[in-house]
Amino acid sequence: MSRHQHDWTADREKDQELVKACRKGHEEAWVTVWRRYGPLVKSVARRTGCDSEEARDVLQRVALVALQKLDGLRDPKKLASWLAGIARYQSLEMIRERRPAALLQEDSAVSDPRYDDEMVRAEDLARLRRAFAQLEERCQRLLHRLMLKQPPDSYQDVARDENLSATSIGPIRHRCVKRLGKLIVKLSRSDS
Amino acid sequence: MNHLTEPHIIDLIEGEGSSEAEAHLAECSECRSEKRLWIGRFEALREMSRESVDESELHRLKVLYRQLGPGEERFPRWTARLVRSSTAAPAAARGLASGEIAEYTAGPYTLMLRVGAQGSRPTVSVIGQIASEKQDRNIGGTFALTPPNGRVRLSDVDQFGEFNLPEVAPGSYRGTWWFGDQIMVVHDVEIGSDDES
Repeated sequence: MSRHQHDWTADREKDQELVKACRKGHEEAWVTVWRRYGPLVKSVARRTGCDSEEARDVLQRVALVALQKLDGLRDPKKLASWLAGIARYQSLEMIRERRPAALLQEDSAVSDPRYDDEMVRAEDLARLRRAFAQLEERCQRLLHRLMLKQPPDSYQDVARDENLSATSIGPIRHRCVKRLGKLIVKLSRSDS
Repeated sequence: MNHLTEPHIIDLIEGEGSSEAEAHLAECSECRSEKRLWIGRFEALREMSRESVDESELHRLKVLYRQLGPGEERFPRWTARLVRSSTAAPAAARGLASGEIAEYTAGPYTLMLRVGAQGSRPTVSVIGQIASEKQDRNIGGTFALTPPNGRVRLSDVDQFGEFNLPEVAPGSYRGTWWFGDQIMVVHDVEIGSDDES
């Protein structure tokens, strides 16, 4: 990569910079948006009641709407919640087209009161994901194996694979969680 | 009052907290709230880590951006020419209906489009195959069907050159095959409706 070529894949790029770049025709910035928020869009689709295949279609529909309306996004810092809102709408549209009876079910996602907080949730999730991605790789691996995997791996297995003593895993995990907490706070301040 | 640090809260969540931490939690609503927040954060991270976007999806989204996004216009290397259609004029004007086939050539490639059966909704599937003169088994890329307005339909093209676009509404489309940096364009793909036959 040349000195003058911007690396839009760097996770530290703020959303507003990515949006600006996408508006100017930077294809890699566009791809970065979907590497960053594609899982969030699919997560919203799944929570709304889509299956995995439908979630893939929702992602494509959301991307199309986002491309068509990107110039109208007034606050690019709110990219995550904007995409989550589009995902929610497109997911419901898809269910309406393919399985209209599903929307009449009492426990359907349409009536889920959590929807009111979906936008706020999307912003929190986006910040959390960015904070996690900014952790050093060993912290990401450790936290993933010990806390995100279901079922989690044992301290012994992680220690063996990371070439550490089992007694050091706990303190390292503590440091990683502390670091994650600080990153979340830092990103909250820079986003506001 | 000294509140619990994040590591202590995580220990409590994992059931490994000290008795002092447990006692503090029982008395401190702020720390209980912080504990709930961290429980939510890890649940959310678990949920998101179950979802991913693979390279083929990213490629389709890249093609979408190239088709419709800002940025410099890319000119096709090949423009496809219709050489054969199972639909004879004047019916050809209404577009391909179920079971009908159109064949195009573009440079070293041939493209066959076949319309599948119409479902309960007024849409059809469009099944395609791209073949090269060299009998290349390394075809790939993405095929896009773009209407003048409305939703672009995208499909991966597999190594045998086959692709499938479900739920295509009747209308006029431009077909574009993106393979690496090369582009083949098919103008005026007319998809008809069984109702018009």
